[in-house]
Amino acid sequence: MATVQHEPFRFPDRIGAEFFKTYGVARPQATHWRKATCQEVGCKNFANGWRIFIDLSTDLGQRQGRYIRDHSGRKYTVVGQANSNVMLEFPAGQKCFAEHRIPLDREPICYIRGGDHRGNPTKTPARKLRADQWVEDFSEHQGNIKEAKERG
Amino acid sequence: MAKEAGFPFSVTVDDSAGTARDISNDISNLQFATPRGVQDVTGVNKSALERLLLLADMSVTLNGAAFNDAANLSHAVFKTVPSSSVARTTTLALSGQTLAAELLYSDYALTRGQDGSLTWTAPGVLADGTVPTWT
Repeated sequence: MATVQHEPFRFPDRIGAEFFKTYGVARPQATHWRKATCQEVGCKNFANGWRIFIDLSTDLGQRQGRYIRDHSGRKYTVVGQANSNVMLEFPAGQKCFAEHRIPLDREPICYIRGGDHRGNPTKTPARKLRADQWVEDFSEHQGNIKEAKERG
Repeated sequence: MAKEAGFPFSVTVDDSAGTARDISNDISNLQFATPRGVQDVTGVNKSALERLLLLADMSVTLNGAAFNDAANLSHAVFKTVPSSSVARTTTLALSGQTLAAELLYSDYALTRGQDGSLTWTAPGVLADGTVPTWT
């Protein structure tokens, strides 16, 4: 479960969210992605090797150290040590510690809802559409906007 | 439009040098916020200038499934957002149609999840007020 640490910076909105509608496309991790190898995603750590820093004075550092030494199965060398701080170097050609994923060849979930990133003040219910219907609706909508703008 | 087999879904975004990069495999979801129905817009008691501003508005949010620093992919494209202010052509292709917009991105925000995942968000707005249309 991801935790939002801070909201991204956005340019100030000029007009309220109630004047907007959102066309969204989603590929949820549970249904639209699969695990992938380092090679499949062009992982730099796999290609070049990598280093990690562990602070053995912390509970987390000790658990990381035990996992790497006893369970990870990766080759590594200690390249630096000062007090409880250890730098480990992992040579290239082995799986890194990241869990890579790549999208499945599935139709994304396409939806239309009221509002924008600030919320949906008009409480317009979300509608799911097939990709082709979504594109058609979006295309028609943008055409109308363009026409209205040209009319002034 | 007939339903297609397979899924041509792609997202390309210019890097800061103006080279289009295909970052489709990094995107978990995206949203385009566009002015609501034109009738609703023009019916609102707003000045003509505000109506025009609204008609020129669109905000976009791209969300990444995971931090990816492989060459020419999402991190390479967005890492320059904080240090540059260039309009970037952003193209969504879906179901045989393409929507291209000139966007100014305002952030490239990374989020560390409790499960150790590292995801990102890049919000943007229309750079020049040109209404993007599907072709």
